[in-house]
Amino acid sequence: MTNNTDKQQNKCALCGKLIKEQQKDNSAIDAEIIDGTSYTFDKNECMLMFKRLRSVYGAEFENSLVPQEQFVSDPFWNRAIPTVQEIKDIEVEKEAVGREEETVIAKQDTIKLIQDPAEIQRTAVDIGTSAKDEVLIIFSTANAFHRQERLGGIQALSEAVEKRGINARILTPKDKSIENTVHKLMQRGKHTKIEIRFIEPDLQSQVTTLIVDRKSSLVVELKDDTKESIYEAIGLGIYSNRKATVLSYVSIFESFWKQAELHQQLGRLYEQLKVHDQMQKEFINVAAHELRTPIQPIIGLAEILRSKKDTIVRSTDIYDEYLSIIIRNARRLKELTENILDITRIESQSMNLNTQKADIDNLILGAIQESTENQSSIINHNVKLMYNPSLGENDRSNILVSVDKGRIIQVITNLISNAFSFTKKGVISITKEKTLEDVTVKIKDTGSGIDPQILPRLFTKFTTRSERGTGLGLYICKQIVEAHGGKIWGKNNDDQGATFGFSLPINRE
Amino acid sequence: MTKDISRTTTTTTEKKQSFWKRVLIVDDDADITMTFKRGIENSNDHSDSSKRIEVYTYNDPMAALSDFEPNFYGLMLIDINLPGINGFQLCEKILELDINVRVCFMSSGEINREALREIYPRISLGCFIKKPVNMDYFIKRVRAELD
Repeated sequence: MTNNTDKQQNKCALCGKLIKEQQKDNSAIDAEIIDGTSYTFDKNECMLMFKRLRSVYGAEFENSLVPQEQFVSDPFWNRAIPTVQEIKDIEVEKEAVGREEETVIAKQDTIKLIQDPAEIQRTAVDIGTSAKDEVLIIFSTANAFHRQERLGGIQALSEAVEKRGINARILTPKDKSIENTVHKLMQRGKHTKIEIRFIEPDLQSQVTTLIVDRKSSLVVELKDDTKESIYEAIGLGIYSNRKATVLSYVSIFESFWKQAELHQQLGRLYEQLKVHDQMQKEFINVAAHELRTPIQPIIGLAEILRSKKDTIVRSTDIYDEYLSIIIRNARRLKELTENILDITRIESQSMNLNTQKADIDNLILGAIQESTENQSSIINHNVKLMYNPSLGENDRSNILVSVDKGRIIQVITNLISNAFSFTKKGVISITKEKTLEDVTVKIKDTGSGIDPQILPRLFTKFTTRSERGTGLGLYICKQIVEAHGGKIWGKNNDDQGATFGFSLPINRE
Repeated sequence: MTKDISRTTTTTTEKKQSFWKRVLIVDDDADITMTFKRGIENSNDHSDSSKRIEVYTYNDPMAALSDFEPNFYGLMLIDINLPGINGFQLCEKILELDINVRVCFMSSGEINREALREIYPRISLGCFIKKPVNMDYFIKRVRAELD
């Protein structure tokens, strides 16, 4: 397209328009020397465009494959807009022709429409790599993430985070592979400040947004998500470094970010709820069985007694036997009912504690009295219950605790009752110990000890299935003690039997 | 747990002569096995004297299995919730020894028959008795199964 030899009939080196020699028209420009060759152009714009194309394609441009005419008729070329790099080099041209979409105000305060996918990607890389503090990204789809991954963008960002200490946060829709990538990124090191959260599928958008240092933003349309190459997948891009625009995008990002966190928390709570629900179901099933079981002998034997009433005088043994079984099961039912009601109260956190100041000795003695009343029908004369209230010669003070008296007596009674259940002969001794912080009550027996298999589940529901036990006593004791800020434990003794103990905080007032 | 000591000790011929049918009851609660046993024995006095039922009870399923005699029982009543082996598994093992003995399952919980049919296809799941049960109904049911 050189016009060296054709000075008579000058054509514009770019658009091929005829230029009349020595035209005094302002639009005609004298020959311009570019790379040692002289060219003439129709307009200033043509010269600039020629220079740009030259810089991109080099001398090859001379032998461009594209017909000259296309430069005139192709609207794309007429509206081609320079990349961010060139924005810095080029003075703003106010005489832009037909560039309605372009709002040019000042170099530092710009919104630019970018149509070329390659330019969009270059812009993204440029502003991304120029980040000093923070990079925020919202990917439109999981595939958008993967396209950027394949181009090495995620890797580059990760390295920038590690080496330059910038913060990076990414919001992306997820798929299996992204989950794995995130997992690997998280494992890479303590310096990794890349955080990735997931967007729910129904909240996906049609644009990918990049925000750097809260100063510049690039929003890129998704044109065709099925494409593997980014250049085919994306549509238009809008770059902005205007405060209002960029900060709006930041606000959108932050609200998505927060939402992702809440969603995760919700997911976790849901899982916990499901587990709890399952445990409740199991508890109800076991409780139903435990409640129905003693009812059978009560009903059955009572009915038999009634049908036998004519013969009853002759068989008072049967009468006594049946009645004691009925009464035993009725009592068991009563205890079960109370325990299960206690548990439902504890579980629904409506166990009200009537806290009062009490002397621990009184509580222990109260429990002993209740135990001996309960045990009266089944007293085992081979087992002695002992309690020594004194702590030592020097300590005469009363130990006061702030507790629900009835509940603590319930705990001690339960532990004593368990000791009786498992001790055929020997001694059950109750002791107390004091520290500055709390008082510990211990019940030690010389019985058969705790079954090692049950030991880990000692304070859970329906664990102990002793003949007379409900399996709920220790669980309830634990709830009561812990509600008072104390601890409860049980272990086997070195010699024989077991020791159970619990601590309560001392009333400091 | 050991077997219920109220098992009567009679000679083999007496066993086979004086009773119409024999029932095996397996439940881990001794009060329940005792109640059912006494209930059935009580009904022997009241009903048709030719249809006397003898009851054997076990609280330990493994003992029930090891003591089991084929062609001896007409009906077995097995609790579903047994320690160690569940009632259906026990039934399967007993059926290997005696294919003819009938079975009723007892439960104090909810039963999903369809699910059970899939897991234990060889067991007859036609008879379920829900605990607690009235003695009248219980006796009627037992006698009906034995007929």
